[in-house]
Amino acid sequence: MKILIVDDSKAMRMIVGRVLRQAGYGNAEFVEASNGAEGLAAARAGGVDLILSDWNMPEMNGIEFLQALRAGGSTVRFGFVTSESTVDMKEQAVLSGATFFITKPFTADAFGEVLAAVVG
Amino acid sequence: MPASFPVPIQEDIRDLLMDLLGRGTAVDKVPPLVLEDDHSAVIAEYRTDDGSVGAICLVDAEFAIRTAGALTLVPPAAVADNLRKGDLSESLENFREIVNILAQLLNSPKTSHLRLAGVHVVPGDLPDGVSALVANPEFRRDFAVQIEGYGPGRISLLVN
Repeated sequence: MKILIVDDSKAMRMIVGRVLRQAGYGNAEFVEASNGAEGLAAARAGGVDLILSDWNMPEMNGIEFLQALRAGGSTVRFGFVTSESTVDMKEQAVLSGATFFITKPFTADAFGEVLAAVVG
Repeated sequence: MPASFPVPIQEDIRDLLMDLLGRGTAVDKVPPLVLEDDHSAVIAEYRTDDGSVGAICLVDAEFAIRTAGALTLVPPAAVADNLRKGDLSESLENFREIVNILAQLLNSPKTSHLRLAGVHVVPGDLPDGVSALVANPEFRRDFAVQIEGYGPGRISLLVN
């Protein structure tokens, strides 16, 4: 399984990777990107099974990234991992094709529960 | 709309730090943290969507360096070294992430939306709205924090 982690904070990319390993995804291959544009390029390179993306990022934010991805025909599973999560944001995310929304801070257990429902 | 932005209570700070750092955290109420010229501190400013300063988070250097280290599991010995040198440079990126996430405690459905707008090391220059809020907040809460494996620090939340 190949998981793409997109966040402009290097610290947060590291934490998401750590929590994924704690949640039982230690055998997955992790790929990182620091904004939506880099994330889009990484996703288009192929082989990605799951994308975890921040919302607020420079260059291209998370929702623009998701919309560009879907506009290009990608159906890869996509979830937001973000510090802000208003009702409007969640609605926009779902309408744009996101599967789940994880709010920072998160525990490994909470992360695992959400992903288990998505990835199986 | 209430006059003031919400100010997180002791349990809010404890729960957020525990989840974020993944380790035990104790939080106690203490008297206000006073800025001193011979002791570094860090101020995170939060602004509304129209640019007004609504809240600040003021921490001592110990809090900034220790939480930043705990966030990415920097070895406590390296954190202690930064504390001895008073070196905040390696801590600010991680600290920024912590105070970015903390913004959720300063928001409510009944008040204007606040987001992290900047992080400043003091002593040092501060934007006008920030220094005014430091000097004369509408409301504040001050806490002493103890992070398992990393040690103590101080954090204060001040709002307009």
